[in-house]
Amino acid sequence: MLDLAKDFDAQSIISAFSEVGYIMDEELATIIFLLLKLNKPLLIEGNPGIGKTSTATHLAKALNTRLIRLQCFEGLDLQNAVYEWNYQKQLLGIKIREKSEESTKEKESEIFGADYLLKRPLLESITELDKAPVLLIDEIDRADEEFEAFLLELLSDFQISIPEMGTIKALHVPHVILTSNRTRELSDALRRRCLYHWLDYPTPEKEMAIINKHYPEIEAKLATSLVKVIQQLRTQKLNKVPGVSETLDWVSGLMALGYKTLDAEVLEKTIGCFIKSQADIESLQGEAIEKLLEVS
Amino acid sequence: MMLSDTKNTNGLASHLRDFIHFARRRGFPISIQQGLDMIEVARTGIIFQKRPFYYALKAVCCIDKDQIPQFDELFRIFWFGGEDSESVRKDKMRIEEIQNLPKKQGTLTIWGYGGSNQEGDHLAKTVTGANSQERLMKVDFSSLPDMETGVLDELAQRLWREMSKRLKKRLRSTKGRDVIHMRQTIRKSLEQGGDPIYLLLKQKKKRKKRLVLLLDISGSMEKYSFFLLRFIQALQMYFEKVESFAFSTRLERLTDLLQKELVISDLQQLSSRIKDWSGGTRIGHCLGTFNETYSHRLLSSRTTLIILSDGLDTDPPGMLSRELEKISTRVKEVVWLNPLKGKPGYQPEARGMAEALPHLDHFQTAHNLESILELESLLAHA
Repeated sequence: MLDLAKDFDAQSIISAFSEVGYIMDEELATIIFLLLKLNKPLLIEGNPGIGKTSTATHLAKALNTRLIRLQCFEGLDLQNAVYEWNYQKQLLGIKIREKSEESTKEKESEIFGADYLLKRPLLESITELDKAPVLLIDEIDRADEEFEAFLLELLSDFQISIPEMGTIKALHVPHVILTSNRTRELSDALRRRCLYHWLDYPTPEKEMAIINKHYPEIEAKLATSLVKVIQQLRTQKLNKVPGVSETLDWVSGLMALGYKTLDAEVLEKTIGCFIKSQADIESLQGEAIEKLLEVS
Repeated sequence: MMLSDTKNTNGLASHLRDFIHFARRRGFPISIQQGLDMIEVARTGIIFQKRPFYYALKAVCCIDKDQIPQFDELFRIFWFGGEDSESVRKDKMRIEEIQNLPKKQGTLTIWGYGGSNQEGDHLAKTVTGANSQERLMKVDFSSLPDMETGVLDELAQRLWREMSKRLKKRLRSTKGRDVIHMRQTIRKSLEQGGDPIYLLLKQKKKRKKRLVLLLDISGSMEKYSFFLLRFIQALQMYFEKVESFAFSTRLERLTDLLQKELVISDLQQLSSRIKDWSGGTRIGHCLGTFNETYSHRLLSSRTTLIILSDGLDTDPPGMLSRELEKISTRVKEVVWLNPLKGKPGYQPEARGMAEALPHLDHFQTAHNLESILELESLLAHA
């Protein structure tokens, strides 16, 4: 575990992540170091299934703090992202207070009080009492530009203003990680506010380490040939290139089925674990599979 | 400059400042905020280790994957010297070469804005009137005398802009019932002592539609490409989400170039970019490049993809059809605008066109102003 109160460096970050089961290289560790030191948000881009999201989840684990996740989607609005009033409760509250002697102003301030507020991820992230949480804003490229603009404001002051209540300022500035699959260009303004990291497919050595971390009982021979096949596949023109999560899916599939070596038959049977598009599966039938195995 | 020089922290800020200037001079943008961030990074002490220093600076300076190679190069030259002087000199030479390039008339310059055309413009203006306007609307771009290019361009710009504006203003009927806006309703109900008498409604937010345009600028399209380019530009100015590309043997993204008002020098720049792309039209290949590089970013079920081409393809058979099929499964509509279709007696028999037809939702012409204006209804539903 990483203690922010004590002195730490990139190396201690690497080992803290390793403890919680995440293999990290020096580059990302350096950037995480900056994220923690400078309190700057980090934007991670990369192909799907490569460990962008799990960087954030493991950061929360390594810091032993809460992970607050905001999954972005098209049409995401502030009510889903920031806060909403609990309308049913408000209606009841109004009815209950109908006969009371309070003035309208008093009633209003009660109905728009903290009890009636439903916190959504962004508001939650700045009102955490104990210590700074990790705020994961996942797939920001799916959200609309308007939301991005709002986020920009939040990320610079870490405060949210609710018209009925006033401005709420962050008690602890959260550690923010944004991920993007590049399905839409993000604005330069947002990019400039963040540290940037392009997460690439892992090297064979790193991929081996990842597999061993997750499945220590795997046989070295199987792991080696599997990594070779996957790495080979990534150089081919596929619709959906297998990421690290596909590799792990495949390993778990092979382990569950009890296979100890890779051959054409095994590969064909388990192809659905790592190739997830019909066109790709078709293109990999027959000879192509033999070729893949030749390399391994 | 060597990294060891930076051991002295006082000097560090100025070294960083030099690096920023160095990078900016070479066209790598670094904002003031990023500069300040760099100093902050330096304060963490990370800077005294070689690799972490590089990683940290990279994370602060780069804002996109595409910038990383350039950053790496700049970083290496500045902090580790080496071929510094050599590459800087080359850099300069290259810039000078570009500046001294004789301003040849490329395909597009001849069209519209050649030097001598100014005169033509002037001459033509004197003969415009309602009648000639009507005539111009119908004239095929390829048979237009040089002299009238300017007039037609002006007219086209005006009409296309009006069209784009109309498209933007058009209202749509909403499907389904409106939803109660609880927050506003409760607020309002306080006035009536808590009874929600007035229901305030909210509507689903409009989803933005996307338009992707692929313009063929090969030799066979030469006569049309200038006007079609102007048309794309008009669309780009008024639609929010338009991405445009030009292709012949390679694919080139045009969106950035067309975002500003197109001026003569841009056209020259574009034509010089295009000039060395001689040879046939590799439509299949270019669509393939598009599929690989841009499709996941730009194509969705709300995208209308428009290809402006004569369909004369020199790629091996099957390629165009394969790539186009990939596109058509991912988008809402594929529209093919073929200027040749406007010629009397034209049949889509060219292999490329015949291959493409099964994957198209619309196949129309775009050979004159009138035909382009007819696209309005198509675009309105795009």
